[in-house]
Amino acid sequence: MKKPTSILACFVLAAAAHAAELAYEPFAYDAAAALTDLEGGSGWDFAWTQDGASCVVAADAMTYTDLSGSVLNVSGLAVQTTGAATTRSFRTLAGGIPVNDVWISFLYRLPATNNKFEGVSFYRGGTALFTVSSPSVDASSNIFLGIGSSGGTSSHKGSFGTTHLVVLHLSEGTGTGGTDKVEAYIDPLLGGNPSLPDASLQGNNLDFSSVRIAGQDGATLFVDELRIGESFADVTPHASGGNPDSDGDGLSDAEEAVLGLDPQTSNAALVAAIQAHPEYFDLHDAAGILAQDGGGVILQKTGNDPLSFTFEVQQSTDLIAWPVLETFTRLITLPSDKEFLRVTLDTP
Amino acid sequence: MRTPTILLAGFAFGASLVSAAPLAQDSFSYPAGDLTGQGGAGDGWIAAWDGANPVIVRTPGLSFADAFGNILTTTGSALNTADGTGTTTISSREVTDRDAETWISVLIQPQTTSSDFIGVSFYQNDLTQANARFAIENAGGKDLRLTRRVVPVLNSAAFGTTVGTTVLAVLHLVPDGGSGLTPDRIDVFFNPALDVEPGAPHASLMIDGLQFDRVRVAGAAGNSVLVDEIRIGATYADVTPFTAPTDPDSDADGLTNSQEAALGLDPFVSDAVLIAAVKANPKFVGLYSSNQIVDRGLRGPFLRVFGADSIDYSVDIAKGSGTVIESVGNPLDSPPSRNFLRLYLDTP
Repeated sequence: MKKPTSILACFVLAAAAHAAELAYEPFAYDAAAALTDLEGGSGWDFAWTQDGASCVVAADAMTYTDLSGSVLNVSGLAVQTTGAATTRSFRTLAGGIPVNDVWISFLYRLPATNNKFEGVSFYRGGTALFTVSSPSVDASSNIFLGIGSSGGTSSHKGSFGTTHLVVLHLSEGTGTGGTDKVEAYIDPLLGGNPSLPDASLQGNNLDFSSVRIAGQDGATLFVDELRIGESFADVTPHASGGNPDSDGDGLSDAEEAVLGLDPQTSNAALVAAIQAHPEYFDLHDAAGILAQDGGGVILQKTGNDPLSFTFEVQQSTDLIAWPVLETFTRLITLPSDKEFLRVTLDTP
Repeated sequence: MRTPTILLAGFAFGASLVSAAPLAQDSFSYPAGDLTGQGGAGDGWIAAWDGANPVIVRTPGLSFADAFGNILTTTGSALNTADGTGTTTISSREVTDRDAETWISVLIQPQTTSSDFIGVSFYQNDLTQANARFAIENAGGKDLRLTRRVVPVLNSAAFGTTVGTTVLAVLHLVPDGGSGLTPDRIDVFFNPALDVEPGAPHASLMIDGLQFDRVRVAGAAGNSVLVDEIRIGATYADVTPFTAPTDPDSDADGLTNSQEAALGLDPFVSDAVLIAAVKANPKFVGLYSSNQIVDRGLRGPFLRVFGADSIDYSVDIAKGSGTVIESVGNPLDSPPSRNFLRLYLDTP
């Protein structure tokens, strides 16, 4: 067999690297240091830069515990937008390559009311694409999600002096007419995927390659634990406190909290009924998914092991005998929220 | 645990309103093409449709079901305000004078986002600007709003729509419902339940006088919206005839009453949060969703001929979106004069 091209090695490495968070900034720097030129964390291209004054490292770290008692993993300190003039700090993702179909999380704390902009924005080149902010036109504590660097839509959530976990889901082509969509979840439970966004927006081509943290005229916003990943779980690593199942119904207390059920009362009958009628929820058992092969094959992953598929290029001179010309094997590491790999032949 | 409940009460709601024939109705049961000349006098209408640059009749007609599964009675075709030429289209039809409490319903399906006027307007005496009364129109985009055309022009808040999704707009003309110089009122309801007269309107505008005697459907600069089932009546039921579903969804949460019974849920209490959470976290109940599948497609083999003894073949590996993420291939050494290549997926 001939050797596959050199692209193979690059491909396998890239796929493996996407299995967890793509970028992480814990702000593990010295307190009071200017953010510019600091280059900690992972998944970034070089150091923080500034356009205006630099944000500075805060004195303390920020923490988040959800309503079911699960605690977000944190480290380092935090960053604040406080300054004598407008602060704008930028950092670019590794390679400067725009990303889409990602989850983003960060901790957000607005200390007090004002009519200034404070926010976290996502850019491609010099273009602001979407922003989480306290906009200048609103003096409330509400957290907004807007297109570009605008205020946009209020989540109707947010309190002064309280640390909030902001989670964004950017999905490619899922908006109206194939536009991209951003959904914002404020203070979600960490035990499972959130399902009802507090705000959302749609726009064309929201692929972003850099992050900006900014405070108008040096107004203060604290930000910490900035994560970008391929799944909700990637950007919300947490300790669940033993994950008990108090009512013994097979659902952990944290899972019942996500489902809006009472963790002290068994829901075994409900779970069994859902399993008996997955079609009510547009869901399937494993066999139902494996049947959706689209004329190709579907493979189910085991644990976090990569999946392997093999294809052959065959040749013939008489259209009867088809000896193998070359065999290719590929390893695919699926994101943590994906379970199956479907490979189809799209031969024209 | 959720408790099962008795279902029988829910099935009785379906046809609680008594409807009579509307004062005027047009379902556009006309041949495809220009609307001008279609219809005629009778059934509440004074004349046929008129217009030098008319909107066009197209198939199929529009349909609408409310959140409870009640299906609006529809027939015939629909109108498209775009005739394909990019010019402004205007069609109007005279109706019996009306200056009393009135209900009006119309199906509208946005086809595009536009800052130009697209919509259904109501006039008195003629189509001059001075005699425009009120309209359902696009709100400077794809969303819809009620507009008072009587000077000073006044717009209601917009109702969010999705391009390609049909909206039922219902107007209620209320004599003496206003105050002062605008003693009358127009309420607008978007996508109301069909089986009960709606309560709180989406928006209301005050107006002096509710008279109108003609309907105009128009699209500026070739912009498209689909319009169907214009009804004018004395009661809400007159303009919203419907067929009750055999298995209703009384709490409008997406599960029918019989499905909720099978799950042991209360069909009169919305389980929308639970449903969304289960769909977002199928692994909690041992199930899977189709969006947990990662797609890869193999395309090829492709041939590149550089000379009689110099031919390369390649195969593309693409994401489900079609984006090629890898291309593999090699030269074909000493290819025979006739040679065929094919792909074979060698993964069980």
